[in-house]
Amino acid sequence: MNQQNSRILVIDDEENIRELLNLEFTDLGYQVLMANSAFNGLQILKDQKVDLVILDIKMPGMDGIEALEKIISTQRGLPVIIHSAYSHYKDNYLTWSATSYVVKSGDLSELIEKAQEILALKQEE
Amino acid sequence: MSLNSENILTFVLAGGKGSRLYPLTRDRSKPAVHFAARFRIIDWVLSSAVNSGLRHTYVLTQFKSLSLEKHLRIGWNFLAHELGEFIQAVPAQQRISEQWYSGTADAIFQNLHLLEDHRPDHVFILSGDHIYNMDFNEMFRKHVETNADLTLSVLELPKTEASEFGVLTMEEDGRITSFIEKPQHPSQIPGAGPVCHINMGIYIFKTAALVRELAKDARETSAHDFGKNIIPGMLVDANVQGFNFVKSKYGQYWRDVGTIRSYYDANMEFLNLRGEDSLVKSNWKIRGVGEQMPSAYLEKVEMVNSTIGSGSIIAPCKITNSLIGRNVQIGKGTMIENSIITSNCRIGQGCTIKNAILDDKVVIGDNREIGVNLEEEKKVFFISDGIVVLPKNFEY
Repeated sequence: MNQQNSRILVIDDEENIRELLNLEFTDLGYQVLMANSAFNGLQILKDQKVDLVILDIKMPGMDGIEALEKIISTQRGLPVIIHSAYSHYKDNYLTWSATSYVVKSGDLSELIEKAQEILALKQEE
Repeated sequence: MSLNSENILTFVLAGGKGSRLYPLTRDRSKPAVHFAARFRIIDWVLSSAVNSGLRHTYVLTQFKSLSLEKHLRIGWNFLAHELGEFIQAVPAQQRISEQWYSGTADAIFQNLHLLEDHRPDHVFILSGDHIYNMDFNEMFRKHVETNADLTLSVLELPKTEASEFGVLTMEEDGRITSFIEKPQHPSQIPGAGPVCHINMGIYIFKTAALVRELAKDARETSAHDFGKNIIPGMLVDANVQGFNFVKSKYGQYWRDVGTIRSYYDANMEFLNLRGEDSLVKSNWKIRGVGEQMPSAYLEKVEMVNSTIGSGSIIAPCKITNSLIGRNVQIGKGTMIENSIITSNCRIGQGCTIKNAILDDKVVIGDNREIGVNLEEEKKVFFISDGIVVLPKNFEY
C-alpha cells in the first residue's frame, strides 16, 4: 500500500471544512471519508478501515474530546490529529493523547504536513 | 513545606485481585483484606497519607470492590469536605474503555478527567497493597529539590526475593539509571552483596510528565503498566529519582503480604513486636475502623503472647501466640495456638485451633479440630503452606 491509498476520516460538524479537506486530501491522492458528528465518525470507525482521523473538538452532542477517548480505547495506535479552531483545548489533559494538534486556519499546509508525516511513519511500521 | 498546602492529588491503586491470597480475597479485593485481626490492609497507606497531609485522595477500585467501598465510607469519611478535602472511592467506570483497567497506568489514564478537574502540580500514586508507615513529606521534599519528573520510593531486598518486583539501579545522587520489571537476574547494589533496589509502587509525578507519559503509552499496544512500560520509557529523557525508603523516618518496616504465608508471617510479626512497636506509633497512628464496643471480657483465660479486641467474650480457655479480633466469642476449654481469629467469629467449647486463619464471621461448633491433622483436614479446608484458612462466613 502506498501512502496515497491511505484512508483519512474527517470528523467535523462544519460542512465547509469537511468539503475543503475532502478536496485537498483527495487531490493529494488520499481516500477521504467524512462524518458530520462524532457519533457518525465512531460508527464509520466500527465498519471501515481508517489510517488517520482528523477530529474537530467543538461539535454538538458528543465533542471531539469524548470521541478521542473512545477512539483510543477501541483502536489503540490509530493516529488522531485534533483540528480545532481553538488552541486552548491544548491545556486539556485529555487532548494530550492525540497524535498531533493543529489549530484551524485558512492555510492547510500544517495540517497536510502533519498528516503526511504521520501516514509515512505508519507505513514504515 | 506541608503537603496539605501543596497542590497535590493522590491516587491509591486498590484494584488488586490478590489471587495468591485466596480465599481471603474470595469476597473482597486485596486492600480490603483484614490485617492484625483488626485493620484492613489499605488502612496503612491511607493512614500514612492522612498523617503526611495528603487530603485529596481518590481510591481506584475495580474487582469485588463493595467491601472496600463500604470500609472507606464507614471508616474514612471524616475529612473536611468544606475545605475541599476528601477520600473518595472511584469504581472502574469504564468511562473511556469498555475494558477493565488493563494495567496500573491504564487505571490512571482512564481517570484523566479527575486530573483535569483538579489540575494539581504533582500527583502521588500509591499502592493499597502493602503494610508500612511513611512520611511522604520526606519523599516530596526530595522530589522538589531534585526537580524530578518522577520520584519513586525504593527498598532494599535480598536478591532471592527481588525478582518478584521491579529492580532498579541508582546513581549515588538518586538518579535511576535502569529499571527492569521482574527480572530473572536482578542487578545488585554495588558493594552491598546480594541485595537489590526494588520499586515499592509509590510514585510522585510532576503532573505534566505523568500526563505526557500516559498519553504516549495509551496510543501504544502495551501492558499499560508503570513498572513494565512507563518507568523504563521515562529513563531515556526524563529525570527519574529514587527515594531510599530504608533511610527514611519509618523505613524499618515494609511488607508485601501477597501470599497466605507472607500474610500469616506479617500478622505474627505484628504480634511479636510486644509493644516495641515499629508499626503503630503514638505520633503516627493507624486508623482502624470498628464500632464502639465494651472492653473484652475474659472469664479465666490462660493467655500467652496474644491480643484480644474489644467486645470479645472469652470463656475459660487457653490462647497462645494468637491475634483475636473484635466481637469474638470463644467457648470453655478451647485451645487456640498460632492463629489469627478475625472479628465477629464464634468458636464453641472444647475446640483445638492451630496455625489457622479464621476470616470474618467464621462459626465453629463444639469439639472441633482445626490445624491438627492436615492430611484429613485438607478434604474439608483450604490449606496453604501448612496454614488452614477458613474464609468469611465459613461454618464448621
